[in-house]
Amino acid sequence: MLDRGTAATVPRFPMTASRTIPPRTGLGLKAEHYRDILAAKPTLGFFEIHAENYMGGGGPPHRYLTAIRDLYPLSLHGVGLSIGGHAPLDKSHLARLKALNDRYRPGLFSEHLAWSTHDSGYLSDLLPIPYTDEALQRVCDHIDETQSAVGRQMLLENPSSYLSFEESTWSEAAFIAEIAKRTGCGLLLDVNNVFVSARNLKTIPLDYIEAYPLAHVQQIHLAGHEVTLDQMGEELLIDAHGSEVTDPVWGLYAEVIARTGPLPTLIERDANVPPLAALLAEARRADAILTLGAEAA
Amino acid sequence: MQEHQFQRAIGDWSCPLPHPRMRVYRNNVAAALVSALQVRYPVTAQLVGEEFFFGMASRFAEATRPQSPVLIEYGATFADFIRGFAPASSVPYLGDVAELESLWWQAYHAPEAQPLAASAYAGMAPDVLGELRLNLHPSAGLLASRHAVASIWEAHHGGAAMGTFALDQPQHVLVSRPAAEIGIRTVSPETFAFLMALKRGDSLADAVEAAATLCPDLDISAQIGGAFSLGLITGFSA
Repeated sequence: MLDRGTAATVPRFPMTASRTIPPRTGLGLKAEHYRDILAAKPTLGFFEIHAENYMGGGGPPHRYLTAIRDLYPLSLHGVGLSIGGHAPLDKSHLARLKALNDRYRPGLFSEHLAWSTHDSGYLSDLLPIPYTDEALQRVCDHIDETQSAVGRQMLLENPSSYLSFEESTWSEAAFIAEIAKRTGCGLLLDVNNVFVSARNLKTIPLDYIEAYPLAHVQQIHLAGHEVTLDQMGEELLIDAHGSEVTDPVWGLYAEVIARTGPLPTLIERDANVPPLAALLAEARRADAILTLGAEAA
Repeated sequence: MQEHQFQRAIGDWSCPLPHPRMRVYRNNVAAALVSALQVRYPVTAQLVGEEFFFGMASRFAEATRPQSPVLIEYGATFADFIRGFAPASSVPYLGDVAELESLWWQAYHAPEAQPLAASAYAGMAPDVLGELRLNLHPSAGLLASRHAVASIWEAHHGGAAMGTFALDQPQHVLVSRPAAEIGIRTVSPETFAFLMALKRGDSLADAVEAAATLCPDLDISAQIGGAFSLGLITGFSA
């Protein structure tokens, strides 16, 4: 069991007055579930939103979110800031993220170790970066800028990888540990991404967990992946978020929770979104693992 | 695989892939854009079927990259693309249906604004009133179509089924969301002209004139009162 709340994990930026997210399971908020959530008020630790889906001026998205925010803690997850990019951060996008943080006061705010800005426009995916000293400095500068602009600590999420770069001189886990140390950001550990990357890059998922700076982890993501073959006929896992969490990822998640104790855990589903009840069943499975983690602690 | 190779190949889809697995990233970029269009244009997709829509949306996505990570803004020009997309020409109303769905989407995300009660202008002298500009609710959208575009939309939302109305019946459509619910309704050509003039920022007198040109015995107070009662007017400016 790690000692949480040591000096190294104290956020450099004060938390805004917000509803703290309990170490329980939450779901991604989907428009098709708005009414069911308000009618059934299921027992859940929190709801998470993709920040970019709530960057419109008003209307039903904000009306429903306001009503759901009154019932549940909220976490805010950005997908488009391009923290890993060579281009300067988009100031207007930072301002939109700050406005959402100020309006909804989410308990946690996270973004990705990835890039998405390009001369041709916005590339709608989370694209990989090589792990070099130069990239480390750039990412740390961008995280410093983000935390200053938004006025709070952010969590950084580990990517899912399909290939690796020749230039990399750091392992991903050491690279992320160094970022957390230099910037004071927290970490969002996506356990499915760990599994997908390890299988695709032919490494061992548990080795990654052992090397990862778990003391900085404040939230977990779980999702389903697709098993496909690449052109060479080799197994290639795709981080598709379109199916249930797989058994090996549940196993890896239990290994993480055994080491960290209970943490806020999100079940992500962004494609083939099923009825709310199906996602609640997956949430119960995560809750059971969190309960075991709490008993072990 | 080096970073500069990755960057070149992800930006330019005609560039050969430096690594076979780079295809995953290109597919993800394209799939996210097609998915954004499917969410914004569900009736358009139903009218042509999933496979055709996927092909049409993919062609649009290749030609039209988003300039912002706020993907709810992506695809605003899809209706124009469809009107010029030869394989869709056998469905002549498809572009107008897409435009209506785009207006619905804009209304769905539009900022909130408090509608004014009609009493706000009671007691004003007609000449003062005529010089005013009435601010239309930010959710208000207007579409004039040579097709029964509102009926087609309603047929896919529990209304009278396709085949029970004439497709080539012109319709003037108003989309608005003064409160929680988005309304799609057909209006007369003169009401359409009146609201279009208000949306352009014309004075009330000029908007009335635009409507009266189409309808010589126009009931002026019914036009103005109708706009208020639909919650479309949110303010006055001189």
